[in-house]
Amino acid sequence: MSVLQARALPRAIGSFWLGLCALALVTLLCFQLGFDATATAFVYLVVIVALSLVGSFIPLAALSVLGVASLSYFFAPPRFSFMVGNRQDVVVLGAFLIAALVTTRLVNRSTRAARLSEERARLLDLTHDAVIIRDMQSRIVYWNRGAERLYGWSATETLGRFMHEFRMGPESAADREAKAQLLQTGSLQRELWHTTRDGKRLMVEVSGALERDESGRPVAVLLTLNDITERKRAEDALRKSEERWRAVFEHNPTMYFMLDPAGTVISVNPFGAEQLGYTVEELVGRSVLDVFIESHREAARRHVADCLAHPGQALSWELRKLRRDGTMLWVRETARAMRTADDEVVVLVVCEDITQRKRAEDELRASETRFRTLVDHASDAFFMHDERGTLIDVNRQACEGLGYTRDELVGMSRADFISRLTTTDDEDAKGIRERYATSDIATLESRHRRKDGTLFPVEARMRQFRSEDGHQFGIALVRDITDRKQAEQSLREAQAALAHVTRVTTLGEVTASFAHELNQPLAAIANNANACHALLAEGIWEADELREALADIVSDAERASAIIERVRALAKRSAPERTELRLGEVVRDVLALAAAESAARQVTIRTDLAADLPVVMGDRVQLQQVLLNLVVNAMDAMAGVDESERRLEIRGQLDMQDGRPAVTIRVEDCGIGLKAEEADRLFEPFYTTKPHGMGLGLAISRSILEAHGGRLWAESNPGRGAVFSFLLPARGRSPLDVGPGPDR
Amino acid sequence: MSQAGPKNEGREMAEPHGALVAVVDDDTSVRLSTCRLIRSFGHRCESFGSGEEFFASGFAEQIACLVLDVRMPDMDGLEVQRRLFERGARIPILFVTGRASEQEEARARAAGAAAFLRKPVSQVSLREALDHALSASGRVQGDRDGE
Repeated sequence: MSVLQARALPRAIGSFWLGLCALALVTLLCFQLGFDATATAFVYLVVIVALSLVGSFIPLAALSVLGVASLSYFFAPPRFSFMVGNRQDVVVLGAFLIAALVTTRLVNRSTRAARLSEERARLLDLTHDAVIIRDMQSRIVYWNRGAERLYGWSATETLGRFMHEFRMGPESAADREAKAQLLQTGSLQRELWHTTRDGKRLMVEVSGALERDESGRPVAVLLTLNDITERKRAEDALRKSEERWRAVFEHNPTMYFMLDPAGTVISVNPFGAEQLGYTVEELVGRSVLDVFIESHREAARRHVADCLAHPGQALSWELRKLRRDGTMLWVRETARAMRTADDEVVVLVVCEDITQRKRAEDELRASETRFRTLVDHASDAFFMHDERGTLIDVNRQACEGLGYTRDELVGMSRADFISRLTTTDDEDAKGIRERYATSDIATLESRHRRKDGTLFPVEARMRQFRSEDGHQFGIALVRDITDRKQAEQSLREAQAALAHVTRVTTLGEVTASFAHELNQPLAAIANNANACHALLAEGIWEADELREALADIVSDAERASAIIERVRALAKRSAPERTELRLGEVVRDVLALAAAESAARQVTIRTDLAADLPVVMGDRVQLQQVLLNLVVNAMDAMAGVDESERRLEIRGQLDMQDGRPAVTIRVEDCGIGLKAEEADRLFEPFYTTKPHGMGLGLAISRSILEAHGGRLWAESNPGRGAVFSFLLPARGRSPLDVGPGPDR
Repeated sequence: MSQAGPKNEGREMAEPHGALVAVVDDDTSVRLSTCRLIRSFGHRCESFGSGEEFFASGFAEQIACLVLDVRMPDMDGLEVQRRLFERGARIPILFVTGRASEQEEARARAAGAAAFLRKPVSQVSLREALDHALSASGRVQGDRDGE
């Protein structure tokens, strides 16, 4: 029920009553004036027509009927009856009724139409859209308020004028096209540029409809126009933005994928497709798992599922993908599941080719492994610590040497290390730190303590350095020098033993010391004896004094004997030991002992020992003594020789003695040589060619050799110099190894 | 100096009235026997085992002559000589030694040693050296020549 219809009923009733009153009044008036039926009918007609302007059809129709009734009763003779005598009056009544009804109807219709059209116009005015109606000559027939607002022209200004008068410019091609389209199709939808009264240019969306009459001829055009300038601007901005993003998507050298929850590729950027050797079309619609290598597909699937399980959270992973041509590449992907504007869930993936980086990483790892292997297998112990001195790494040797596991060592603080593992005390530690501070390198000897508590000597070399990121590190290389220390110790002991024996058997020293010792009791004896002599000579016979003096003489004599006995015992102690000896070793030991001296005197010593020299039995120290004596003599003999020519050769070869195997060692020099007659005299005690010599060395040496069952002799070296040789019987043939002898 | 006179058999030794001589030597028998010998010359003699003992004894001012071993532990002969010199004592010193280097002899003599004798010392050398030293210092009581 329309609004009009809703109000109809009370209105109808109202207009009926109004009409009724009006009619009654008019009837009374006409009656009084004595009008006849025809005149009254016309008056009634006027009233009805007037009423029809406000009333609706039904009440007026009713009034019309009442009017007819009234006419027939009051005005058509016979009066006061509904009978109509005159035939002309019937025509009048009939005509009145028809005219009233028809007129009423017509007026009603036209008022209604007018009202409707007013309503519509009001509605049209309400709408925000601009509505313009023009006829086929482009004359403006209707101009709503929206159009007034939009263009700035009021309806009064525009109605009846031509459309083009208000466009402020020539008709554009678009406008002409629009018109043509409208005529052709009866409707149009266009976006056109229009100009307002103020000269502002607007983009309007024009919807037009062609109104045709019954014959189909166009009669008017209804246009609805919308200002879409803003919308257009927004659309433009959006489009530009979209273009930008599209450019990013399309041309960025990064691979972008968009996946649906099932893992199907919804979209991929050209770069992404290209990197994998596909076109975009080939990838869209396929499962993304297809581009991963077989073994990584499960992982890829799992990662995508993780993304979907945690929407909005970005997750990363590294996997290998497969190109179309079968080659593989390592990628790092970051993905996030999200909801789009359409409320769909998608997974966005950014994918980066890291094959190069992976390769570099692999190489680095391989290189690091190589270095680690190197360090680990080094024979020295290796420690690395940070700037606070805490151990951060150790190699295998460090662990094995100390008896700890790597876990036990790594992480140990400096204080712990020093107190538990070394014998360095606080003083030393401070000194080390000071040295470290000044020079970055420190070398020191110390002792380390194993887990089982045993100590061993070490040489440590420490160095500090700074890494690229500015951190300070220290490395310590520690060498177990137990062997070296032992060798040094052995050497020292050998030297001491040799020195001792040298001292003892070189009678020079012995003589000097025991000569002094003997001197004391001898002097005392002399004094006492002289004293007695003097006293007796004076005739003094102080018996006690004399007795004391003589007693002293006796005791001093005993003291002297004791001294001599001691010396004899000392000499006896060096009775030859009997051990198996390799002369090669003896030679080596002597060379070690003489090394400093030969270097100082610029003497080159060469050895030439046969490989198959048999073992001899003897006293190592005594034989060293002999050889050392010969070597020193040889060096002395070459004192006058030019430094570059000083050469000494020690030869050893197999020899025979009385048909049994023996070894001969020859010491050859290129010194002043021997005279023939000297060759034998040399070995006599106290014979010496040296200004400060005792002349006992060779004598003793010869006696040592003889005690070993060998012999010692000298010869001239053809050319220059001399050769001193000694021979020793091989094991099993020496008098020394005939059963265990007495200890003395 | 001994009392001159004919040889008397069994006669007791005369009262020693000679100068006081000190003997310093770390070897006991040497020290004692030297002292005995010096006493047989007619002098008085005291012996000491070390330089410290000698200085501690207080005899240092009284002696007319010093017989001194060079090589001794702790304080050697040269040191004793130096100390005496520092104290202002101008006692003649006879060095007697079993072994000494030329340098030590040179130093001793440079420091004013009256004599430098090597063990074993003949009694003649000792007597002569003593006489010489004592006469030089003017502490001799009696005179041989004067007899």
